[in-house]
Amino acid sequence: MNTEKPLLKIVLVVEDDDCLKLSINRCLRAIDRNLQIEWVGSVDEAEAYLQTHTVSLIIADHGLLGFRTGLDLWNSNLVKTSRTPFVMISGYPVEYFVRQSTEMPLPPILTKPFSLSEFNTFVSGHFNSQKNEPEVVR
Amino acid sequence: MTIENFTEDEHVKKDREFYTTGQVAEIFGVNFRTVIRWIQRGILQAHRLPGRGDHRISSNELARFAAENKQSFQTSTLSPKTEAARLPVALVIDDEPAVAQAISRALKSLHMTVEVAHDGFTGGFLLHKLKPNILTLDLKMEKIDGFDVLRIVKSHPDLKHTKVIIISGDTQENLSRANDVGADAVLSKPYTRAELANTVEKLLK
Repeated sequence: MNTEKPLLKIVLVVEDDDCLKLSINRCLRAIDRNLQIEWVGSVDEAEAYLQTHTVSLIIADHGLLGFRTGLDLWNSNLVKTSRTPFVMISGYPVEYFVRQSTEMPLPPILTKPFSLSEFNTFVSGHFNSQKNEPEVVR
Repeated sequence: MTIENFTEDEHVKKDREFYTTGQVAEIFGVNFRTVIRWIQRGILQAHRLPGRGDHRISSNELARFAAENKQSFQTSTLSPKTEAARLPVALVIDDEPAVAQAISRALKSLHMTVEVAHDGFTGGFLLHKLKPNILTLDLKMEKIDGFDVLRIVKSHPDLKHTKVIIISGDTQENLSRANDVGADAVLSKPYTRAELANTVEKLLK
């Protein structure tokens, strides 16, 4: 009997693009077919969900419905205090988010387009770190 | 001067007619890249500085954006438990940074969450965003009429729980007038930390 706990339990995906949802769904199922994946399309919806649910991982696109972006969700008190592993997906490279001449805590950023193996390595790697410390990008 | 012939030197001289994306981000509590996204989507109008590509947003445009989208930035995501445990919030409006900082430090020592505004626009926006428990207000400011702010706070239904403490070096006549307009407390400069602490504690009870 397999007594190991599943690697991931509930994953909250914050994404409003249907094509990207399909890709992320396929990638997550490749990691664990038994994952419970919750889908929301904006930071407001994500925060409403996180107030009443604990999740194992948050995957958020940078560009979302509404006024706030995936980065604002990363910076929100709910995510910071829960220390839930967080991955942001963006079409921009990491350097785009770094303000020149300042150090700025950023979440792990997976740049689009990405392959299934890149997603697997990236997400599994960041989820396995117990403390989801922000990456300080110089 | 129009936006088309704006130069950075003009911006420096005309203190706070224009805001950077960083300043706007701070006002709305978002990342600066979020503000750039608003500009790219066309929901916030901005212009770029010649050569540098940095964005500047006029205070009029900021006021329009804030007024149209106020609901989206209400602090409504706290759970009731978190709301109850939240520290009292104070807003300090004073156009002298050193004075504002001193008041802010004193209020933080009373275990309050403190925000500071040095100009009327930021003060007005933060008032509506935070709905603070305590507002400290100077009467004698260069570009802001403290009495106007006091009247607005005392007449706005959303701010009926905000207690206003006038902290000012103004004349005794004007300080008395502030009481008549509806100030909850008046402290004449110079004041002691103990006086401020006693006043705040009485008002928060």
